[in-house]
Amino acid sequence: MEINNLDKIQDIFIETLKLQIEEYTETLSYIEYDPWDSVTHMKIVAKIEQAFDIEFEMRDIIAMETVAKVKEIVAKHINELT
Amino acid sequence: MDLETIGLGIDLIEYESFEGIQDDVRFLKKVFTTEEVSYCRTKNDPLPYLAARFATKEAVIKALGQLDEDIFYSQIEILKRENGSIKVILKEHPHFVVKVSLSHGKRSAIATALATRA
Repeated sequence: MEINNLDKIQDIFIETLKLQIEEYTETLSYIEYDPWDSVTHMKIVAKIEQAFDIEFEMRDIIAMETVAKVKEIVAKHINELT
Repeated sequence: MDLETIGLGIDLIEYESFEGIQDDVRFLKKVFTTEEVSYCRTKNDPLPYLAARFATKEAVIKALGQLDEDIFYSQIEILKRENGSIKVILKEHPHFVVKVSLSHGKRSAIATALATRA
């Protein structure tokens, strides 16, 4: 994925979860990080859809359990568009 | 009664986490039905009503999850009957029945759900 796209995802996570930059890692997890709750998850999903002009399916949204997985799913959608 | 056939869910939403969501069109569209949003917007402050419906949907998701059934927010519709009770419509899961109860206070909303196979 291009660097500016990775930056967009990073910015969305940092803004929505109010993270310090060092807290943003590939392994940051929906299950293990309490502030990443169901409401925040849907906020992140909506912001990523808006930023990339894409729309996720239910199974994608459920599968987005870590930052790494979010990046993988976004990359799949972007590639489908190109 | 066979408890293995019953799913139970509970969820609590603090209004603080919902601030700004009433204006987030994409969020609203992914989570709520048109009827739900229309109902909440008849209220002076839609936020507690949207939060209560989100909590209810989460409780339903948890209850059905205990029965190994995946469902998403937009597939669950929370409607209010004329007598004030809450009706749940599962749009793509007609083989399940869900009963819910919800309440909202000054700072948060809470909901419980009980699910079983129809």
